[in-house]
Amino acid sequence: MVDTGENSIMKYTFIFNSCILIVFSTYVHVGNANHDEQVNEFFKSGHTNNWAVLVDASRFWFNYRHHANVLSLYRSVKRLGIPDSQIILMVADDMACNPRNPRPATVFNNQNQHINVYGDDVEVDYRGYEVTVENFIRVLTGRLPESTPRSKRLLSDERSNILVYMTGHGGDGFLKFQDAEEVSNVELADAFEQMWQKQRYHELFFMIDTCQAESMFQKFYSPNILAVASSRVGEDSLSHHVDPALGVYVIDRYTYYALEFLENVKPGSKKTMAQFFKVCPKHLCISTVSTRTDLFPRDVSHTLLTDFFGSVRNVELLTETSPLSKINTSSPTKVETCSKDTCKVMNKKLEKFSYPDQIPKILI
Amino acid sequence: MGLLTNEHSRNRLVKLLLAHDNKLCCVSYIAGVVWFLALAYQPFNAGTYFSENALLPGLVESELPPMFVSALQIKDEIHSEMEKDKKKTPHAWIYKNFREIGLETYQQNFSLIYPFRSVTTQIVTGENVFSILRARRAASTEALVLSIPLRPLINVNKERPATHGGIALALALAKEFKRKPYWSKDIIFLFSDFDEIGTLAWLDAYHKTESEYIKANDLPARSGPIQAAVNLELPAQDVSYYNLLLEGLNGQLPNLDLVNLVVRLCRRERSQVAIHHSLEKRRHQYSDSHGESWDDFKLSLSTMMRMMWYQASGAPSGNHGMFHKYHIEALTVQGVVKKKGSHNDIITSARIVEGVFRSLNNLLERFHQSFFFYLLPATNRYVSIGMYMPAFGLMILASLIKGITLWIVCGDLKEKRALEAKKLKEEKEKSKDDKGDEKTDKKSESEDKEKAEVEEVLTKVKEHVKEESKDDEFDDDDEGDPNNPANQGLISITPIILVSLLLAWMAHQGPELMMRIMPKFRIHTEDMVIYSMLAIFTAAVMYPKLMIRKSSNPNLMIDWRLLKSIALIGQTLALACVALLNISQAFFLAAFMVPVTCSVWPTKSRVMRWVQLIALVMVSMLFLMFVVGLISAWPQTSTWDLIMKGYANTKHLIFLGLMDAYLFNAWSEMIGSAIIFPLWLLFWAVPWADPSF
Repeated sequence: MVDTGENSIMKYTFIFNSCILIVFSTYVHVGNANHDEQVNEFFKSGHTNNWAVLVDASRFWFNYRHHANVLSLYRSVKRLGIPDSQIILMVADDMACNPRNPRPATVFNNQNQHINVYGDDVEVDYRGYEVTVENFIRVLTGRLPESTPRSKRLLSDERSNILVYMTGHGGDGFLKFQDAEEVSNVELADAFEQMWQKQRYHELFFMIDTCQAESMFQKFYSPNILAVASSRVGEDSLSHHVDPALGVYVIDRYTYYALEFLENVKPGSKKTMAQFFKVCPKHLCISTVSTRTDLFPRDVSHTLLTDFFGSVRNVELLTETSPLSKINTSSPTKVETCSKDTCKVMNKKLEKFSYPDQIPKILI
Repeated sequence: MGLLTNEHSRNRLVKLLLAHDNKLCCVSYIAGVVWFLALAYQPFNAGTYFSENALLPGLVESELPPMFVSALQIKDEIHSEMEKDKKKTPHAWIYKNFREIGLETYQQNFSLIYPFRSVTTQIVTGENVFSILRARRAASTEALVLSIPLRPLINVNKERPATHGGIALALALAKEFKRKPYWSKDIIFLFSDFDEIGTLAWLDAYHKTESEYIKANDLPARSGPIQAAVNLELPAQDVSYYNLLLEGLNGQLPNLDLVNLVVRLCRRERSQVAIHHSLEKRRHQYSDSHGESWDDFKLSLSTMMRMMWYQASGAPSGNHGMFHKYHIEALTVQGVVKKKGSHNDIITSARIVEGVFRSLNNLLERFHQSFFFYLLPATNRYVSIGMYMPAFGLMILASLIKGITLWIVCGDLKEKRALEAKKLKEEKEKSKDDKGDEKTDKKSESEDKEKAEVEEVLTKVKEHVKEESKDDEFDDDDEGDPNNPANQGLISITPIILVSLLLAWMAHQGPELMMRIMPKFRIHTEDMVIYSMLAIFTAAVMYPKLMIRKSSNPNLMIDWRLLKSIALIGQTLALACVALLNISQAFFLAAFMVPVTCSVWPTKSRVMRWVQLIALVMVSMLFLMFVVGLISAWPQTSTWDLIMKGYANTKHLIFLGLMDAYLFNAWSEMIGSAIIFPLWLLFWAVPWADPSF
């Protein structure tokens, strides 16, 4: 009878151990699934780098506010993480050293003159008479002469989110560049399409603060573009306030309220683009802020502000290990040669294009 | 298209024109005058606005110390300085003080050569003082001018008020401006002697041009091209309101943006500002509506008329007129002192001038956005050239319609007369042929008789000669006959046109020629000018009498319709040309001349002829000048006083007009004597013509 007792104890222990093992294994399995999800979430937004193209299309002392607009936005974007090497700043830069400036070497965006937005670390890429329509389109499309330095190039790739901000004097269907030329909405739409076809952006956020600004984004037809404008067609965007010590209007309404919003955004903020679109209601801005979301695949209320305004360098610390698949590096790549008759056939075989995968195969 | 090229409809249009031409003329002229005057009514004109975006007027706050003590101190100093010698102007004081501030200060001498000089005339010399404040951070590429005329205290009167408050203001402002880093243009403080003459001398030297009678020395230093200038005439006492003077030489006006700028800045300091002393009620200055009552219209109309009055003379109303010669926008700000209600002190004036200069500092280009041709019925309303030209066009359309109508009638009559002449000629030839047959018969008979009856032949020849002389008598009658081709067409009126041109040349050159003999008569220059003009005028009105030929007909045998037509079309063209440059002058000339010149016509009745001649004299240039003199002398105690003062004013005005023409190249004298006068002389011949044409 003792033998059966020992047998039963062993049986019970075995069952108990197997139960625990089963429970443990399922737990581990579930844990692994979470881990994969975490890894997947890491690449959810789809972009890996952020660029900004900030353009002030006007010059002269009485356009001080456009200057202040673009420099304030430059400050915000830099604060949220985009480095100077990834910001293209196009501005006439004739305010700080203008003989009419009562506070030389400064540009203020507020009457209280607390922040000098033209501090000592502003890097202007295109200044003075270099801010032309030709240079702007070339920067966007990447068709610059060989001699252009890297700081003046938009070296974005298919995983870049780009913020394009424009301010100046605009009209129905055009934006005036420095008193002598204008860029039309059709031209801009075509430039963005060129960018899409050359895979120069992943998602693009277009922000414009001029009179009749809506007309500038009406002709866009490329995918993944989100746009916001400070006024409708037929409306004027108004300036916010005068600085009586300087004698000029120092900032525009829409940019003023947008900056107010951005001041409260920190690098890890979870604020969404939908909240950003509501930033200037009609009673504050007087003009109607309009947006274009039909070309944008994601839901704006789930799109983070920092997807465009900041360069969030995500670091996630995982305590588990992730298995990496082995890359087959042994087989040499076959160099195929062709003669005059067979080249066409071979090229045809190689012509199949496809977009790269969301998650690079190397990590799975 | 069809209306003018289709023969049929063109004839219909012409017939319509001929049938109703008098009515059309009347309606057009009256409508034109009424429309022009109605433009002063507020709903018919527009409110002023700023066209130049760069100006940013009045946005920046004043940086002058609130109690501008230095200005007040300097004001007292300069007053005492000027009191020391009432005949002189304080050049040395100004020079010394500006140097002490640290500004580049220079003196410029100039001399005025009197145009009508004789042995005893001296050459008058004057001295300008000017000071340049260099912009610290700009390259002296542009300049602004603050000009202050220097007037010795004995010359001060209502027309030319004292200016030493302005001198103090300029010095105080110069001290303040020097400390500021925000000037993008140089500021030149100019103190000129002898009003316009000194300013012109300085400008000539600045731009390296030369005048015939004003010799200016070279400037020791200069700055860039001048973008705008403000001429300041401020007395030392507190000012009741600021009076703006805009008219420059030959009716030029400064850009409306500059005027609006000064008005806006005066309003910012809550000061009253007026155009030619035409003060608006307080509430109107700050609101654009409520201007539709009859009283408001009267005030607007009087302001507009005052501005047109000053513009019509073609003489500048202040030193700023000289700047207009070089296309520099300038105006004059006068401070007017009234016994009660003066509370704008020198500090307010300083803030206004500082605000104007801060706004002008923002400019990048010369004034070009706003209007150059306008009339101001109020400081905040304007009538642009697009509004007043159609009204003026209607006025001179009357003259054009009449001219065209007369041309057409002339053409018709010519055809009629040609037909008649042909008929007459045919009849004459028929009768001559008959007579010729008789003669040949008689001659053959005598030839057959082989001189048998030589006496018979002789008597026949005598008869023939008598008959020939009868033909001659018939030819004598031709001179008084309208059908004589010598009395028709252009041939008949060419002598009149040539004579009138000759007389016009005499009127233009006459005063100068007369001046050469003036010293011998020892008459005052003004008297000499007017006597010479009257002499030429009297000679000119005699010319129709001298041109009547000694024949049975006591009237001028000319094609008066052709003459009047040419004169009317010439008048239309002349007035249109003048209107493009100086609308006020053209308006007043057209308003008086057009009704009279359109309605002169030759009559048999002596009464009507004399009425027409008197009417013509009343619209002649000399009489119009006399009317101007009378209006300037208004009001006087008695009629005789009025006439005397009016005559004195007329003399003075004509003399000044002549001097302006010599010194500054003003055109009014030339327009009056060389363009309007010959046209008037053409009309003068019409009442003397034979009405049977």
